[in-house]
Amino acid sequence: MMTALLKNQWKIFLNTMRSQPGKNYLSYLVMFIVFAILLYWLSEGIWAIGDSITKPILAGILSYGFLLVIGFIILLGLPQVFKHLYSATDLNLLFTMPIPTRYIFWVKYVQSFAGIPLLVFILYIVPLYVYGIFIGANLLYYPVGLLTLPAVIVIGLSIAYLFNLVLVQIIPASKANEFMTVMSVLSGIFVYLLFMFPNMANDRPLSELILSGLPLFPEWLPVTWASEAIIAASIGSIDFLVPFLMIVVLAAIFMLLTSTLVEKGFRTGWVKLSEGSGKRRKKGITKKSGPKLHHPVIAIGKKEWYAVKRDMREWLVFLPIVFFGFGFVFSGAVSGGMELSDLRGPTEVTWPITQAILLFIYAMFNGQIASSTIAREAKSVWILRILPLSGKDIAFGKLWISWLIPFVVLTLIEIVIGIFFGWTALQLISGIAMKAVITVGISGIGMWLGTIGAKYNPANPQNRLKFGTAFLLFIASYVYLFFALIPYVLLLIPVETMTSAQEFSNEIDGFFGTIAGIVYTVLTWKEASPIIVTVAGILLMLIISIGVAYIFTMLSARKIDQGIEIEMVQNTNSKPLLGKKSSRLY
Amino acid sequence: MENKSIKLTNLTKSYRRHVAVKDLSLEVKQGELFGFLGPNGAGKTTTIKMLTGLLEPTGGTAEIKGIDIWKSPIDAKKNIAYVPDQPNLYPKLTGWDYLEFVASVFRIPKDRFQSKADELLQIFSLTDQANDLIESYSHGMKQKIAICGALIHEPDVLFLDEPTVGLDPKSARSLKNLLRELCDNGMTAFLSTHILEIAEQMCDRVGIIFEGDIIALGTMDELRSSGENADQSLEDIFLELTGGEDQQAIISEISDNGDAK
Ligand SMILES: Nc1ncnc2c1ncn2[C@@H]1O[C@H](COP(=O)(O)OP(=O)(O)OP(=O)(O)O)[C@@H](O)[C@H]1O
Ligand SMILES: [Mg+2]
Repeated sequence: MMTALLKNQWKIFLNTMRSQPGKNYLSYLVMFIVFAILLYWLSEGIWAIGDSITKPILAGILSYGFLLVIGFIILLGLPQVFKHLYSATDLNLLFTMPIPTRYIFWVKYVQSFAGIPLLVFILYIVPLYVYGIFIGANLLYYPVGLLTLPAVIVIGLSIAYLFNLVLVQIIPASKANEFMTVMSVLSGIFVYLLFMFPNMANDRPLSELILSGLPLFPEWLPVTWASEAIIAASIGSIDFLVPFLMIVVLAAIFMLLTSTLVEKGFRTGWVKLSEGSGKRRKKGITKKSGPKLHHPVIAIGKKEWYAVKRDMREWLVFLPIVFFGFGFVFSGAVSGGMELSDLRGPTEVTWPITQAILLFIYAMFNGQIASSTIAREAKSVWILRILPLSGKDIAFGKLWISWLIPFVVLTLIEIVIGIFFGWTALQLISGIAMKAVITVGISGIGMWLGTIGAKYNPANPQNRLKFGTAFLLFIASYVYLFFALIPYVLLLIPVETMTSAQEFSNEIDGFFGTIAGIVYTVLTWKEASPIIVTVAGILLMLIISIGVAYIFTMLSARKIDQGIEIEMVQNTNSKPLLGKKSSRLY
Repeated sequence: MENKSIKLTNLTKSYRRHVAVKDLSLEVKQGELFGFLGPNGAGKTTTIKMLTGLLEPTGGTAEIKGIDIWKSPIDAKKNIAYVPDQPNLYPKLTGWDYLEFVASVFRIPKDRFQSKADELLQIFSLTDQANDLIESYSHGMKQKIAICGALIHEPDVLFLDEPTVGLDPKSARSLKNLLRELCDNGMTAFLSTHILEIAEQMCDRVGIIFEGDIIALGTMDELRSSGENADQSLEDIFLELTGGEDQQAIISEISDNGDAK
């Protein structure tokens, strides 16, 4: 039975590969090359510093590395596991056939090794072996390494499965849609704590700790066993046996533990989730105020707003803020009884720093939110296509709302911070206005990138950009920010720094020298006529950000008119011939 | 010229090597209810998608009221509405929000929208669920709200792709009556369907498409008179043209075997 199921999966895999469009092969090739180069660098690095790695340092690196494996697999593997267990559409078929749930489960389990775990395995085993060759390790080293690593991976993967299997039983069916969100948050906190552990247990920075060769983790921690086993094996000592067996047995226990939850967590969980959240939100009789009709551009923004407001998952974008806040309070508490009020400094210091941090956060959010409005259309693209809307209407409709949402959220936060630090009204208002202007540009760029690299994955609907595009967005947001801020920063720099800028530009040449020279020139102007320079700076900033926003929105509009490809990631392999299907918007 | 609502000239669509629609030429007059029939995979959905601007033709032109939908998409789209075979709507809007959205885009005056929306929701018994999120709707309810959205702006030309799939008998009847009435008042409808009674009873003209080719076109009477005997039903004509005999033979063979046992 298992073989039949696995064989079927294999066939589906082959067909999916075969029916890929040619350009996908190219991207696989590129990915493969990047990966190979990465491995090469790693190996080269090991070769270079191999001599200075003493045994205690190696132990530290290994155990921390194994912890990384577990954390990595939990974080990245969790959505994959969810997909395998609950949202693969072939489950519909499989559950109606006389196949024991156990079998289906183990097939899914085996399947989930292909993916992140496999990647992690290769990423670790190659450097491990390179290092082994370098130190001329005992022959035992290789098989022990080859078996220990999968054992650690199995532990990580099993934790990911346990998370899914346990949480699905706790969460009420009506909250099924939010299941992924809850799980991501909890696993994020879990992994965060996992990594805080060595920091909390010791009061020195991690890098120092590893280099000093002091034990990172207590003896009883499984990652220590794994590293002990490998180190003992490298010198051919029989001492490897006990920790090695311990880690293997632990992996087996974890697998057993997951298997006990299969019946309750997998099958019933799937039933519960596919029952879905039959939310019938009666919103009362809202029609009393009459229908609300708007200009098409407003109407499009409003539809996006409803999609965000009514889906808790959309708010996930803002999760980093929570972590920022968490980390802030946490580090404050750790660094020894510092009072929060101690942070209150002079406003000349707190204001610029807060502005910089907020801009950094905006750059992270605005692009992401704007770009995701495109792929959000997913299967309903036909609606916008059938309506007499130009690409411009659609682009501007999506732009204003994706600019407004982060603006409102972050401005609220900024006001609270401003009151806490006691900024003047002028500081508060000018900061908010400055960021309001600058961030439109980021939204524009984000939306345009959304039109080029839209992706929709039903199993992970928040992931709406192709990987390359998401990366590009990240870079582009900050590059833009850098340029848009130049006139603003020049306004801020006090005239008193003029002389140092001059010295600086005289002393060094090249890029930084030139910049210092420009700064100096501008500062001399500013000294001569502060008002004109200030006005000019503000105008320049306006031109840059509004200009960028306009250009990129128009580019998006043109792209929408031409036709956007939203790459539909089929969340199951049950329809092999449609492995990846695009749907076009315009 | 003026009363040609839909005109396709040599419309062709190929997916890579496979030609799904071959050189289709067809005209539908204003006020006509046109039924588009054909076996699964014949090219019905593909044709409708090309007519509504959802799928770019490989060759040929498609005109709505004399406007090429691929050359002046916005102008052409002001006149049309479409009910897809899969009602994928915005899950996080309520039915009412969705209607408001469509009405906003078409810039319909408020009072006209209110009365039209109430009327349509009433016809399809959705009044009570209008304020629920579309994601909580059943397939048939989604289908019905999609129809309401298509009719809210009183389009001149309406495309429907198997609109009765998933509708309960009452709603199906309402839809049929409504379509007939709207067409009598000058709207043009182009609908694909597998239910031959619908085509037989309510369509002014019928076209049968088979493997991308139109193999029959005309009023019911014209189709009948082209066949061997005049009192053939549409089902007989359809099966004769699209070749159902082979399958028929296999089925009788199976039942023969069953008897022999
Ligand atoms: N995205 C696609 N890629 C490749 N071929 C396609 C695609 N969509 C449709 N086809 C092919 O085009 C042909 C016509 O499909 P179409 O969907 O128009 O059929 P249909 O008449 O609507 O069928 P049904 O009655 O089942 O709805 C079929 O042979 C189908 O395989
Ligand atoms: Mg079809």
